[in-house]
Amino acid sequence: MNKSILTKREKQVFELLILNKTTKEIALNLNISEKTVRNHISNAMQKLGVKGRASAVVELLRLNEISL
Amino acid sequence: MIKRMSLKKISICIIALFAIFLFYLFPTNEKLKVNKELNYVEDDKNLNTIFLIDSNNYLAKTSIDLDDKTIKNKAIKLLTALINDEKYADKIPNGFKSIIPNDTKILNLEYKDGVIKVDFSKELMDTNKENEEKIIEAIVYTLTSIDKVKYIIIYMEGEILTKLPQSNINLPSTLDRNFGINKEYNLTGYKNISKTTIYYVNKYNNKEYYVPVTKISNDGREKAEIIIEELGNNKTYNTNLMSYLNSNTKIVSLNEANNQLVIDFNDKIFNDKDSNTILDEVIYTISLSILDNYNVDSVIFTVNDQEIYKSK
Repeated sequence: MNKSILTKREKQVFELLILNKTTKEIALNLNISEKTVRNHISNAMQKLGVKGRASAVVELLRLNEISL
Repeated sequence: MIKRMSLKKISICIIALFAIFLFYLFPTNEKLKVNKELNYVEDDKNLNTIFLIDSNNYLAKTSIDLDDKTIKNKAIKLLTALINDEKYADKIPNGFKSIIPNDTKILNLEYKDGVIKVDFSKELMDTNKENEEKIIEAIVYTLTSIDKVKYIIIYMEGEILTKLPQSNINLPSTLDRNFGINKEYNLTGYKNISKTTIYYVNKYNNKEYYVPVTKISNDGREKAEIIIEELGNNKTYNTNLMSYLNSNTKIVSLNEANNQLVIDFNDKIFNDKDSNTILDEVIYTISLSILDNYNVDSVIFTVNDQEIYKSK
């Protein structure tokens, strides 16, 4: 079974991020706190070895971890 | 009385001749009404589209002469050409080469209801990291060029290929042209991201061919607008990707209905304002781009709402 780089929740956060959702909107959508959303984004950036949300999105799109 | 009748006949003849003279003196603007239907595949029914690597390492749209009628046999032959260009060396145009490792075998291929399922041997991925994704793109774009084929499922040794081994790129289990080709990422942020495939033109030995590039960028506009702007500005720094579209060409209106996309342009699309002609390269680059980005069967160009071209 192929293991994804991101957890299911981390993926959900980024999939909403590329739909132009704000951190607040993502939190409401997933029924989690804004702090948790920011934590998921930070964790994903660390796993990908990038600085910044935009770089994380580029990497995730290249890897097809998330799609448009 | 006879004299009066003759005079009457002569008068009628003169009036008729004058009317004909007027007709030729003031021609109607017939030129704009000429409809040209455009075939992307040349009249030879045996020519099939295949995406091969060009001299600049882009997957390019070329064609190969195959005489098989069934979708399954056509697909097998196309994939064979993608695997081992030596076998079809006399059919593959100069300057292009295959991408799939030479000792790859096609273990099985099935076609049903628009879906091709193809099982390859493990040699499919005996390649470097940079080529893995190109192999998938070549397979998907080549096979979906066959009429009625929409989706591809790729297996390797009986298992669906869901991840490329070295690049770690995930593959959806069902692939279509949404996967993209010759991808370029031009992202400055994570908002308003869109994916648009644009066809450029290039030349080898004075013969033109078309190169699709899927651009991922921060641009939330209508895809047709992006296509026209990209082709008009030709901002690419790569001089091997060309476009002949006038940079002042603008879309006046866009209408999608009945599986057709009607694009009304301003008259800057003409390369010669007097003859109202459009360069074939301009037609192809726009039409091929539109057909890859919209779910339509044909594209119609109009200027001032008069039909100029219709693709097939």
